[in-house]
Amino acid sequence: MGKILEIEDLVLRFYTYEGVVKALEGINLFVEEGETLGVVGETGCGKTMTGLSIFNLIPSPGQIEAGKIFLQTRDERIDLLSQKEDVLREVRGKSVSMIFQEPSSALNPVYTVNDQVSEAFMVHQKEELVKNTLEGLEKDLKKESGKKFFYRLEKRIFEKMLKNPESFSLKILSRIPFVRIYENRLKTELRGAVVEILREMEIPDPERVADMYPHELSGGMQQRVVIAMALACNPQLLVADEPTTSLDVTIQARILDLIKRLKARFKSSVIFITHDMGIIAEMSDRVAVMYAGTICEVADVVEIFKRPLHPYTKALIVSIPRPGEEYKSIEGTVPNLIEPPTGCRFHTRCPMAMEVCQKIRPKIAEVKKNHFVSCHLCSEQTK
Amino acid sequence: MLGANKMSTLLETDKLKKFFPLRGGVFRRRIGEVRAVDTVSLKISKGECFGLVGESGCGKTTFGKTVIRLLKPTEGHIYFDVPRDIKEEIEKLEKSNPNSGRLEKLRRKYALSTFGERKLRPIRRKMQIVYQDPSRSLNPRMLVKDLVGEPLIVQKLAKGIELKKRVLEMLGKVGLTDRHYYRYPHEFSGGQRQRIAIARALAINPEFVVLDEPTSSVDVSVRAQLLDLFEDLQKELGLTYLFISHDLSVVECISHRVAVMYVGKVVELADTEAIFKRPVHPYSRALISSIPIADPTVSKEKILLKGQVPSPVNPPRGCRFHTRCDVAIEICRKEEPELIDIGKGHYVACHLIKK
Repeated sequence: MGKILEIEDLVLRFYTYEGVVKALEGINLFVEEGETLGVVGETGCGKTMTGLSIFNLIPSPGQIEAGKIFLQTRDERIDLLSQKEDVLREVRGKSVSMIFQEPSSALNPVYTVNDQVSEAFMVHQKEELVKNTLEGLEKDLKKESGKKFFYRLEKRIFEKMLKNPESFSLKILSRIPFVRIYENRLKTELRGAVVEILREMEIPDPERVADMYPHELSGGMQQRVVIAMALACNPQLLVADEPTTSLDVTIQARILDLIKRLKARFKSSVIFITHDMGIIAEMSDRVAVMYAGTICEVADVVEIFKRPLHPYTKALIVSIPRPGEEYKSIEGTVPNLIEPPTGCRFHTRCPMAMEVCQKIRPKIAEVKKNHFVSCHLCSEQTK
Repeated sequence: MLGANKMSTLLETDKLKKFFPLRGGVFRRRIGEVRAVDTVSLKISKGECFGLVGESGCGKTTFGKTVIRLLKPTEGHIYFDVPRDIKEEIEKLEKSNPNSGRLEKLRRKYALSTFGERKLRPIRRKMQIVYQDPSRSLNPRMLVKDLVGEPLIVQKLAKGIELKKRVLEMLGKVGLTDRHYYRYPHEFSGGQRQRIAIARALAINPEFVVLDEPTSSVDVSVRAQLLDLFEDLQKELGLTYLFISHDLSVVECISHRVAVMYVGKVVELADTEAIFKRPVHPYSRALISSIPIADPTVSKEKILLKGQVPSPVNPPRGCRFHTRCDVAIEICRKEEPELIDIGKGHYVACHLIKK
């Protein structure tokens, strides 16, 4: 198995009025083909920002200062951070795509479901769609005799579209009333594709749902539409940013089940960002634990839950309320990232902090096989 | 485990209903109603933590707000801290002579549901609520000292130095310090803000506190801290909680008894252990099976519910769950099941259980 995504020493800063927020400090991560990587941590620890930086979509005062993100696409390995915007637009949605946290705000309220899902198809799979349309035209040409003249005209337009989609004459044609009726054929084709993907998301009655506006759908249905948009072009890597946080447990269970099955079918890798350890245990193959903009520990999911090494991971696992077992809360609060603690960022709350923790930031190291920890304690033990 | 019968009852609802009118048309006529809480009868004992779970929109919060009379119930009665002999008399009268003048008189004196605003004010001292999102429930323009002191002033319980002393004492109880006295809510983190909201609710020494999803807006580590705090305060002050949440694992940890609600109705009510280990109602079974377990080595069979939660405007006839139930039979579509006792204080509303 190859690595589909590699993040190397990613540093992200937000330049705000109050000071420089050191949001991410040297993130090292990789995602292997076909696996689900769970990213877990408290609010504000940089989970979402790590996800967004893969798309180079960091919101305004934020800037990626250093680091590299390599994506292994079907043909080549590219560094996402050094690419131009038009290359990135090709990648977004086609090779990597994202499911956002709040489905009601991820969907545009003034467009129907059909309009929004078809956008992804229009951007990435136009060629295929036009080809299908042409095939349909050929059939019609053979069948009927009456409107052959118009069919031939249509065929010429679509052939042109296939050859040169940016052509000037097409742009003019699409603006003339009545003439642009030719587009209807493409729209029908597009709608077919949308209904197909909605059906795959197990939306009941997809024909009707396609014509609805987001507010007419329940939260679970909205999330399915968002997942449909993300999976429209069969991406290799899916970033799911807390996809079930705003949903109820019963609906959450169904959405998680859906994501699991779709992942197996589309053979894509998933980065699953969440703060719920229960979901992590259920969904992921490997887990990365984040704290205050750094990665604490990356290991296999069983390893994380049964043999955690980093003090923060240990504390996090003990803090899960479980019936019959004592749970302990983590003392103190998450540090302010404008002036983060020196050295290891967890040392202010760490029960086992040593002197070196206050001074030197621990590097992430492979302590056991496939078990990466950034803690002075662990690296000392292995020495 | 605390049973309903052994301990004295603090709060009791009798066929409580809360409907919200839907208005429409030219004259804003009443065209329907949202049946948010529909015929709920519950007993909450003194000193227990009563959990109320269910999906969003099932009427949990409406129930919580109605029992402390922030909302006026459409029908039904709420009895808070009624002496036992009077409660028995009311029950007897309800059975034998539901239209008698004596019953009317007793209800007017003891049932919260009939009280007006003025009569409610002394009762408010005994019941308080902590809301879901502290960043919205705390006035951003008020200092902590005013936020926590306000209920004391409104209830005329303290003034001047006495007030300050009391506020500082409350802050100390919830784990804040004197430093926080002159601060605004925005200067605090989410968990600390929720602590202020708790201090505010507990300032006037209530007996009964409604906790409306108090941990849903905070992080895992802070959630554990807050749960600790709730438990400590309950022991220290002898509080009774109504803990409303959709986070089942939290409810499992803190509650003594749990009621499961579905579209305005209680479908199952039992001790926490019974309901989580041996749920009986098909809906509770599905709900509890869908909690993700934080242990990768445990795998469990999930019951996935099909369809959507029905709208409380037009709830399905008969059992409200029959549209999504796997084991629904003919009678479920016609008759509404009643909440029946199946032993050890375990109540279920399902036709299948009867047979």
